[in-house]
Amino acid sequence: MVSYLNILRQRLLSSAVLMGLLFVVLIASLYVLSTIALQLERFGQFYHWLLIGNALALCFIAVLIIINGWRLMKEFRARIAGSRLTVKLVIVSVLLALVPVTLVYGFSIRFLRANINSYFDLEIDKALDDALELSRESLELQMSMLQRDTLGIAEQLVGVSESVAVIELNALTSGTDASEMTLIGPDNRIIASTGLLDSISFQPNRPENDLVTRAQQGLSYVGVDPIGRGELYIRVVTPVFAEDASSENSVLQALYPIAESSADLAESVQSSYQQYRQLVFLRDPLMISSMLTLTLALLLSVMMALWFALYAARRMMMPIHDLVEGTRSVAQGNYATRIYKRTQNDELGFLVQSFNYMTLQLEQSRQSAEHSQQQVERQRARLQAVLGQISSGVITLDAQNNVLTSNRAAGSILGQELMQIRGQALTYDAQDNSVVAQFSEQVRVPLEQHADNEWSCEIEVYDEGGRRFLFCRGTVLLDSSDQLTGRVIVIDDMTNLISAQRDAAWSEVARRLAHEIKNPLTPIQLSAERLRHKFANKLEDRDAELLERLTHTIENQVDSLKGMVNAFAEYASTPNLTLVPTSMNQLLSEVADLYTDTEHSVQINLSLSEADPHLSMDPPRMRQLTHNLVKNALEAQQGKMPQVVNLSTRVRTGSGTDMLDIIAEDRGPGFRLDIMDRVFEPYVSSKPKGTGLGLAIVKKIVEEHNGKIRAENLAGGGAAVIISLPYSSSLQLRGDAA
Amino acid sequence: MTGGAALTRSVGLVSLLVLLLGASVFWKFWKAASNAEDNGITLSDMQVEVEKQQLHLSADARITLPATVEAGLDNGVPLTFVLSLQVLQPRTWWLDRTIVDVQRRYTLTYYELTRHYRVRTLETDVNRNFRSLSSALAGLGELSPASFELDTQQLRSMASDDILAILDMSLLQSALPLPLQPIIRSSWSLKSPEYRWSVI
Repeated sequence: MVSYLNILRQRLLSSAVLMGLLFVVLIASLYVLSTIALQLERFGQFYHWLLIGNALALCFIAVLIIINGWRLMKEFRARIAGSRLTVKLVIVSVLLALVPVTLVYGFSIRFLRANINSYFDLEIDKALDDALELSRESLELQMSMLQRDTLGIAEQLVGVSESVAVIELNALTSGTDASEMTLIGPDNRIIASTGLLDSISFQPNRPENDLVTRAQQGLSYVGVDPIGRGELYIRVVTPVFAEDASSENSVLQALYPIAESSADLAESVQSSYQQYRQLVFLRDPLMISSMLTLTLALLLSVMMALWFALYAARRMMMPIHDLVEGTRSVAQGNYATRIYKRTQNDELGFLVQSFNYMTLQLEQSRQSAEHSQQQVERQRARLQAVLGQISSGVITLDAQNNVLTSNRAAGSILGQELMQIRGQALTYDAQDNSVVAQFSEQVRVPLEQHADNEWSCEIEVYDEGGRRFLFCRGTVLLDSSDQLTGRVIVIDDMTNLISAQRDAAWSEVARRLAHEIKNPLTPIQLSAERLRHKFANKLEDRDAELLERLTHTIENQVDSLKGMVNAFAEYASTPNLTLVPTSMNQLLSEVADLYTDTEHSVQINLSLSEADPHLSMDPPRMRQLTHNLVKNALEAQQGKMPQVVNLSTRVRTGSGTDMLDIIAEDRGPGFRLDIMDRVFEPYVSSKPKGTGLGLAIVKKIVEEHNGKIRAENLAGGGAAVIISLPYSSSLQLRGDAA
Repeated sequence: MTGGAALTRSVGLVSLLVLLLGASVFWKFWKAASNAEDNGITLSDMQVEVEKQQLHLSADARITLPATVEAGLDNGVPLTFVLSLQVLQPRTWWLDRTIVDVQRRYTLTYYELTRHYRVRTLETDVNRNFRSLSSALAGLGELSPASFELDTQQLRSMASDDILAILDMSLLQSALPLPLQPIIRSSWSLKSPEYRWSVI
């Protein structure tokens, strides 16, 4: 990113340098165009090339400006950050440049016209004409005098023979101011000449042929002629008439120098006049040329302004563009954004620096926030792990008693429905009879009564396993300003504890009973037997019969008491289990076979699961359990024919632990509802017969195998005892292998 | 996207137009500066002789001044004519080899005070004065004798058989006053056709 920006910056700089050089060259060339003026010899041949070069360079710059402008428009349309501001800057800069330049241009043209026109004044025109005329008249005065002198000499030369013509001419010339005199014969041959002007070739200056011819015809000529490099001489060409009219005339030419002062003045007048006339002639071209140069200068200025506006705007906008992009980036959450600082000391540089500082701070804050959040997450996870492992159910509520969280134990105590009301108020109006609904109904009161302090209560709920005792404690959560933020309810399932306490009490009772009752039973029995032996023969028939009956009763009752005491002993005993993987199906079948009689008064129906898992169990205890179940079922159907007992097993998987259900159903009257909760306690029985310990022992064995037991009445009459025993699939495999 | 494409097209078009404008300006000046039409001057009776180390050229040039140029001359604008002689050795598969490339410049000026024309040969600084334009132009047209020095190498080359001489005469426009430069019109363009002949 930074290297790219560096390159961009260098490119911008180099383009600025190149354009700056180009502009300097163009300005210089325009300066040359405007100042070389009339130094044609030196610069004339470059003039066109300067013009062409300038025009082409301007075209090139125009193309550059168009391309730059096009790029800017493209950025503007694409809504690239900073482009709108750039366009505004460019427009303002161009307007700022154009208005004064156009004004200056307009006034310059105006002044140019006025100035050029002011050169050409009628008065000056006339003055120069007059000066020229005056010069001419002054020269003509001299000419007429000299013409007269020459005519005199020509008259003196009439009749002079060719042989003495030179001598005569010399003599005549010496008395005059003539620089050179030449006598040309009728045959156009130079007869004599004196005072030769051309000191190099020593050739006399010969008049033009038409002058000679005119003179031969008798016509004189006088005029100011430049000789050689332009020195002015008065030339007089006059005929030297022949003595006889039939002969052709000779011609005399005399050259007189003009006085130096007059010559200088004449030259000056000539020069000024010529320059002025040239200026007049060149007035329009001069105007056009000046306007062209001025227009080129204007174009150059405008283009410079345009290009520089584009360049400067782009350059100025760069940090702003960066800032906008950076802000967008930060808005998208990229706090690591840093902007390259292009300028050092201006406000934009300060802004960029501040932006970078701000993003640094933001990044640090975010990192620290993330760190804190991670810590909180870790703590939460730890807390969840702890809460997940404890046996107490924990439910958190918000200030409006909406359920926020609950741990696993809460779910297992209150059932899966707890999950369904997560986010809802705990004190909802339950339409069903789920455990959660019962719980909710009962904690509503303490929640409302103890809205801002701790509370505890015991509640009873009913589920398929029967009545359960829950001990609930509630507390409030406060924030730092003691504002209520939520509540926590801790639930302990006391059912097992209470049940265990009761079982322990019963076991103690049974043990004491067995111990206290069993001891006197044998002496009682022996005493009764002795009574019968001793007095049976001594008494009369009637009394003997009574004795026999009474002692028999005593013996029977003692036997009965012994049975009861044995049952108590059994109930109170805590045998060491020998766990062996055993097929429950097989065990049930064996027990069922024992009850099959030939009279079909007892009918045991087996409906066994095909899965046939091997459970880790103590087979004798489990067999006793089955016997008790069957006996209990048969006793419930006392008097019915036939007595039907349905034994079935089913496998339940999927909810954590695999369970094997053993269901024993009968067709008796079912459990009385008032004792439904306590059917597995000793001496709770709806049957007239029995010790009342059968199902209590069953429950004891089930609990020894970590199972659960419940009783229910069937819809079509009869009762069912359902035993759930846990087993593991791996054990089953081992069992299969065995 | 369509707008962007249209913008790109229009920008390309404008750039092309500006370039075409530049090219046309260039062409106009180029043509005006270097490729004047052949008129106003005719050359005749060309002769080139090599004698000793001198190349003698003789030719007649008939010069007719357009009215604008004559008006300029009468208003003090000096006219510079260039007589250019090139002696070439033609080569079939390559550019012709230049043996001699000489120029002679003549300035024609009118002087109002004395009402005469002066022809000055710049290289030799020889002045000739004429009282009328016709005589001045005639005098300017008498180009002989124009002599140029030759070096040994040139002499040796000139001795070969196949030599081509090219002579032309023109009004030197770059010598005209600066204000005339941007607006040089065809009336200010005087140029003789190239006169080619083989020298034996």
